[in-house]
Amino acid sequence: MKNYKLLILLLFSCILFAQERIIDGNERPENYSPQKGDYLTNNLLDDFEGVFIWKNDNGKEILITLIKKKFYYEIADFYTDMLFGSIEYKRNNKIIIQKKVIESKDKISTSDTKTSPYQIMGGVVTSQSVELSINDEEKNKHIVGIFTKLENGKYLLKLKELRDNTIIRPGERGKESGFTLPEEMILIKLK
Amino acid sequence: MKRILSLFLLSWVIMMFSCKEDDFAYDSEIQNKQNISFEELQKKLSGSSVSKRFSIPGIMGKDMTDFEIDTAEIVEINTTSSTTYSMKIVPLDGEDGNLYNLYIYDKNGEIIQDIVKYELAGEEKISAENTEVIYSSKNSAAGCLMLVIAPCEYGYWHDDAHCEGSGWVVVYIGDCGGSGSGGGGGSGDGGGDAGGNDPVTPVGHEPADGSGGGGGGSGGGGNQELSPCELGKKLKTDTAFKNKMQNLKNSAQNDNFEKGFLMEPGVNGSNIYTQVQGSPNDPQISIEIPLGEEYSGLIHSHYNGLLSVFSASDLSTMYSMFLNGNMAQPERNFVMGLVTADSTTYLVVIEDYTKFDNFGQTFFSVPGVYNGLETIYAVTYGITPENTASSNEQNFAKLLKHFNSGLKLMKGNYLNFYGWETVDVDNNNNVTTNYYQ
Repeated sequence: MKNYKLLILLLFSCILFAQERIIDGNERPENYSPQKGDYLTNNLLDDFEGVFIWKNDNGKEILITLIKKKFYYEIADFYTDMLFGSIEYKRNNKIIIQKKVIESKDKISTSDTKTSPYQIMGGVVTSQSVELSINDEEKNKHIVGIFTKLENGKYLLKLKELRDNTIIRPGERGKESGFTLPEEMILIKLK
Repeated sequence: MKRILSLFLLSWVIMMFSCKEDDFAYDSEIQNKQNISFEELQKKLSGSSVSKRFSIPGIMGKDMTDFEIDTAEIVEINTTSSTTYSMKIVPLDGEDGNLYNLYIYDKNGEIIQDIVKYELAGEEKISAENTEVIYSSKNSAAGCLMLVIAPCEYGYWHDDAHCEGSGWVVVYIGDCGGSGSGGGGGSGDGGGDAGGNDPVTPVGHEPADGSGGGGGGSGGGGNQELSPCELGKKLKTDTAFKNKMQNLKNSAQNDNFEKGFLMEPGVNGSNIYTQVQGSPNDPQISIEIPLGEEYSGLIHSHYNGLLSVFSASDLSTMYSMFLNGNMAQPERNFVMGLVTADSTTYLVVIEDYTKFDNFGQTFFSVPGVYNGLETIYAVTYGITPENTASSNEQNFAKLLKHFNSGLKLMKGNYLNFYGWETVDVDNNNNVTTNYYQ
C-alpha cells in the first residue's frame, strides 16, 4: 500500500513538475536540437510590439497592432515566439480594410491560424527589421512588409510582393499587382 | 649528398613540368603543415566540396571510376599564398598498384580538385615520368603539383626524417597556387567552355531560349516506386540529369539569378528538361504549371548569397506540386534537386505521403504560418546564408525529421553528381550520411 502511494506521488510530481524547456532563440546553445515541448523565445520581437499609426493629408489612416505571442506547432509539439497583428485602413473615415481583433489568449497554435487567419504574422528579425506577412484583403493576396525600427518611436514599413518560388496556374497571372496600402510609410508608435 | 640529389631531382621536375620557377614554393615557404580529420576538411571546405566516396567518369579507361578517400592521412599545407589539402585516395574496385592523391586547393577564390596518379612499381621512385594528372576540375594542374602523400617506402625525394605520421612521406614538388601552365587537351564533348579533361563538361547544346531540349537518361520517372537509395543509384548514372545539374552548377557559380529545369517524363524512362529561371538578384522562380500536368522532378540553383540548402520557399513549391497533381506517379520518385554556389548539391524526396501532406498543410496552407517556418529555419535551427554549409546541412536534416516532414534529404557529389547519399538523423539527433553502392 505504501509503495502504491509512493508511485502515485511520483506520478503526480512528474506531472506537476514537467516543464517545457525555455531556450533563448538568440543565444541558442551550440548544437542545440529541438525537443518536444521546447519553447524557443525571441526577444528581438519585443521592439516591434505595439500600436502604430500612419496618416497623410489626403485622409488616409492606417492603424497596425502587433502583439508577440507564443506560437505552437502541433506537428512537432514545439513553440516559438511570433508576432500576430491586425490592420485597419481608413480613407476619409471610410473603412477600407476592417481590423480583425487578435484573440487575447497567450498561446496560438498552427490549427488556430486555419480557423481564424491573422491579418499579419511575422517572426524573423534581421538588422532592426522584422519581415511581416500581410494579408492584402482588397487584392486577395499576401504581401511582404519589412518593418524597420527607426529612432524616436518611428517605424518604417516597406511593402513588396511575396518573393518566393511560385507555381502559377494558367490564368492566375492576371492577379492584381501592387498594394492596397501605400508602398512605403513611416508609422508612429502610439503605445 | 642526399640533399643535393633531392635538389637536383626537384630542379629536374621543375623543368619537366614547364612551370615558371616563381610558380613554385619551397619548403621554407610552407608556413604550416598539419594533419586534419575528414570532418575538419569538410568544415574547412564548407562541408560539401568533398565526399568520402566519389566517382570520376572517363578516366582509367572506364566509364566511371569510384574512389574513396583514405581519411587516415589528410594533410593541410599552408604557404604564404595558398592552402592545399592533400590526401590519398583508393579506387573502390581494387588497388591497381598505383598511388592516387587528391589535391584540393583554392585558386583565385575557386575550389579546384586535382587527382594525380603515381605509377609505382616495385622500388620505383616517384618521378615526373610516372606521374600523371588524370583529372582536374579546372584543367589547371598540368604538373604543377604541390605535395605527394606516399607510403614511406616510396618517394625518397627528401630524407627519411620527412616520413611522418602513419607511414607517409610528404614530398614537396611544386605549387599549384600559381597561374598553371598546362591543362587543355582532350576533346571534350562539346557544350562546355572549359575543354580539357574535365569530365563534368556538359554534353550537348543548351537551348538558348530556355524553351526545352535535353532529354535522355532515366531520371525520377517510371512507374516502379523507388526508395531514396534506389533513386540515388538510378540518378548517378543518368547522364542527362548529371549534365543538367552541371549546367546549374555553372549557373550557381556565375549568375545572379536562380535557374532550374522542370523534368517531364519522356519515353523509356527518359526525361524532357524545360529550363526556367528567375530575374537577376531576385531569389525566386515563377513557374506556370497547369493543374495535373505531371513532372518527375524540379531541379534548380541557388546563386551566391542564398541558402546552401533548400529554402522554405523550395519546400513550399514542392508541396504545391504535390497538392496540385503535378508530380508524376508514383510521387515518391519525384526529385526536388538543388545545386548551390556554396559547393553543395542535394535532393529531397518524399518518404511518407501522409507526413508530407500534414507538413505542407501546417506551413503552406495559411500564408502567415510560412513565416513560422522561416522562423524555425533561422531562429530554431540557425539555417541561414551566413552559417556554414555543413551546419545548414545538419540542421536542415534535423528540421525535416523533427517536424515530421516525410521528406528525406540526399547529398550529392558536387564534383560530378555521380552518387547520392542519404542524410539521416537518428533518435539521438546524430546526423550521418549513408552511401549506397
